[in-house]
Amino acid sequence: MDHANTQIVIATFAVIFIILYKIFSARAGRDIYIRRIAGLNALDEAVGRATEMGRPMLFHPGVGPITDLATLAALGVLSHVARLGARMGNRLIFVTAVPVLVPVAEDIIRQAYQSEGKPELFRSDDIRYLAAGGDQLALGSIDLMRKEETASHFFFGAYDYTSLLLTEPGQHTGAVQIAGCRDYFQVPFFIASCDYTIICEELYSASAYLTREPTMLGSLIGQDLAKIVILVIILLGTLAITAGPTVIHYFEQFVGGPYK
Amino acid sequence: MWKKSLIAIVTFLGGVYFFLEFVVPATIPWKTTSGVVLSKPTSSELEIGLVRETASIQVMDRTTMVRRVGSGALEQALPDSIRPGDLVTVTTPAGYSTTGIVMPESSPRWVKLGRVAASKTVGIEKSILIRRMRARGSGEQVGLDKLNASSSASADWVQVGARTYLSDWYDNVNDFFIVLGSMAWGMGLLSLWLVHSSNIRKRRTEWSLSVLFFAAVALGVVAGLGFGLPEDSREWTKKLSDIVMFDLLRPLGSTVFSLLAFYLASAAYRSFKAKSREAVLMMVAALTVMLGQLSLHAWLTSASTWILYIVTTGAVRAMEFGLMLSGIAIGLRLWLSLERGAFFDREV
Amino acid sequence: MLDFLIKLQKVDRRWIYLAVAVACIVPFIVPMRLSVHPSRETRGVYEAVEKCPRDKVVLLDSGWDAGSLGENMGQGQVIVDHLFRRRIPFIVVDIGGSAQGPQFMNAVIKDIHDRKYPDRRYGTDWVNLGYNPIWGWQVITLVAKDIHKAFPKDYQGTKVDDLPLMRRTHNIDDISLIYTVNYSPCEDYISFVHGVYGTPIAFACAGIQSTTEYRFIPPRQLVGMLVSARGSAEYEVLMYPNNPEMRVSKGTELIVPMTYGHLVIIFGVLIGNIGYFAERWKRRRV
Repeated sequence: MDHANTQIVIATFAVIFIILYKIFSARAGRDIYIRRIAGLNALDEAVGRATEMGRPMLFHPGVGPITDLATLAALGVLSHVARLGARMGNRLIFVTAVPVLVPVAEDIIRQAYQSEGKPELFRSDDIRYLAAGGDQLALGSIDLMRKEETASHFFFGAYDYTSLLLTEPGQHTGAVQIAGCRDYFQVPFFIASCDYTIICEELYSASAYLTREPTMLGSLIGQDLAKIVILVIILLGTLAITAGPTVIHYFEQFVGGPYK
Repeated sequence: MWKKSLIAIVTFLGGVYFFLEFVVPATIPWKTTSGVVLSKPTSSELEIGLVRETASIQVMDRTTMVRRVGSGALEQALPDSIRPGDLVTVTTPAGYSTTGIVMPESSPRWVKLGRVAASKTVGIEKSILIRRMRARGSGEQVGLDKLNASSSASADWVQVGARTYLSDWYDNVNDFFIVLGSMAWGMGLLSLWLVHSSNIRKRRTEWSLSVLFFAAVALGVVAGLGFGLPEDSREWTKKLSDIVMFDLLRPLGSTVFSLLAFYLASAAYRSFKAKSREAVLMMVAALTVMLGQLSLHAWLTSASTWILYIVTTGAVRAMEFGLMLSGIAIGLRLWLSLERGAFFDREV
Repeated sequence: MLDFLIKLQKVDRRWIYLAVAVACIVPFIVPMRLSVHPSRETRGVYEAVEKCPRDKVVLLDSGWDAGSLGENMGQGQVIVDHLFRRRIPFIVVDIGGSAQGPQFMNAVIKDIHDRKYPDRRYGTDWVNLGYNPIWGWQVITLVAKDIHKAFPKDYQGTKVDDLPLMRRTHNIDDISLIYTVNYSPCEDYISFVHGVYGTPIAFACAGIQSTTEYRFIPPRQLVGMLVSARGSAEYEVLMYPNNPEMRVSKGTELIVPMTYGHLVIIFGVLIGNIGYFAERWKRRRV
């Protein structure tokens, strides 16, 4: 595997320092502001709508494995949606194509119902491992949407081409659909067929946004600060390459190290 | 409480290896010799030529490079393919030629050449690591027998020094992940068994489909016996395998995928409305790219290519930066057990 | 008239499905050809294969299956045709793709071999090393360092040391080009192979996936890319510029229905917007 050169080591430690600094300063009680994300605000509305209509909700965590960051982020949203559903006394159906997610989701949803004082509402039958593949899961989910007449659909995680197979029939059932996806080439499909879409990085910040936990918020601010530093370097690089080949060569050597 | 601490310690130790393996160099920097291999190494020593920079040449469109290989022959070399240690003659568009050994600081746009200023004999012990420099990257570990040596032609550029021992475990750790990944397959099969057998036992709704599931698994296993047989085999398992693969799975898979075409059309018809400025921009870009793919007019194709190569590249890279930094932040939180929410907060 | 225009945005979706179906089916019944102009990314792949030396192999990572057959099959066909034509040996692997990948690629190779190049021999001109389920850099770096360790047997169970081609192919030094055909190719090839060894990489992917891979072409991290059925149709134009009757890949077959399907979608978007603006105009008048 490639080893880091001096510049990469400096950058690595700088990013780690920025993120950790912001985490600990948030924990120390500093006030943190993050902008509104419409899709995440709409989660409450979607759960409420399903409860009013007396119909269950559907949660689809994508097709990525549990080691995928997008799936972990989806589980964070699942926890929030499950808690809301438990509070309002509604049913949440969870479908997946990843067998490892079944016990994890069962645990999260059971915990949510227990913490809201409604353990009797939890049904393990509602955690369904439908198929081994994304396309089969999509067909199974469509069938489920029709049979159970789900009123709100939540699609969060890593998606492949099966995203439109899920959301377009879901749109025809009249359900409210909220999607959050890490894969930017699937985002247009979600935008076309869902009521709210959370794009790429916003999915990773969903847990921080929903829980408002200081560690998570601090980490979010830290990564944004690191992004600003990268932006400054990009701007300087743009100026350097405009200035000529010699300037960009020395800039590359300074910022990126020797070409290896 | 102790369980959580144990999980935190194990998680930290698991991540610290990869972190250190990445940031710590493979050899101790102040005990490392870097240079070109001058002569065939023996089992106990290696002669390295210490190269001093003599020229730094900008590579432009009409710059040519010729590399001298071990047999004495000359071959054209592209800027992307030159490696540290290559003996090249660079000719600029103005006609000036310079010959020298390519140094590791070279890039496809800027070649640094040097000459052997001195030689050093390095003793080979068990604690010594030899890394060969490639066209790019930080090099790869090699044995003495794999080195190309020459004092008058292209040779290998190596870094020889006392090892930090971290990289020695890399292949073992890699193998561990491969094994771990394979285990997930068994878990999936087990989970399917548990779910569907439970459906049949408890006679849940549509339990007959679970019976069909087991029948399909059995069919797949039997058909798999024909997998890998020669194409002209007359075995019945081969015929069954071909039927399942090409007459069942292929049309079924294509059918599911083709649903996308219809759903795409209805989704596009319903939602691509010019309701705002951003929607108009998106629509114009989408129509330009779609029409540009159809070879209708050169102008459309150029516009489509511009959007795909320039605009999309910038947008995708920007999104990638954000995703990567988020990934680093989440990874850091998981590694240091700072993650909160979902199942990370619960009591173990 | 205005009411009619407003109704245009409320067309039942089943009419749209029918229009797409007709647009895609008619070209199969009424044979037609469209002029296809090779794009920059397709030319890049073609020129890279033209530059491949005969004493090295091309690594073909083919992980597609029935789902993406329409887009990937033609991409597999054209590259095999080109490699056979130039007598460049190649190795087929499937790293982390679909488990059916080796079989689908086998069918493609068999078809081209039987039709056009019956003198090419398995084991000498090509080998198929089968499937490895692990996706990502772990197996890719292992292939680059020691392909025998990553794939000790071919897909038929023969030991690789018994195959003449594999006796002279051990690691990345023996590979001149890596060509990945998959719905979504693994980008780890770029970081862990091209970034370390400088080996040229070419992708052949689905259309929707290609938007994220274009960024690798200007900095030459990818030599080129075949995009969907269009890419394979363009590639065949480069291979047979003066013989349209020789262009028989899946890509050439599908480019016409694909084009008409696109036109139906574009037409649908336009009439939807006409209806939308008509409704807005009516509301303003009221």
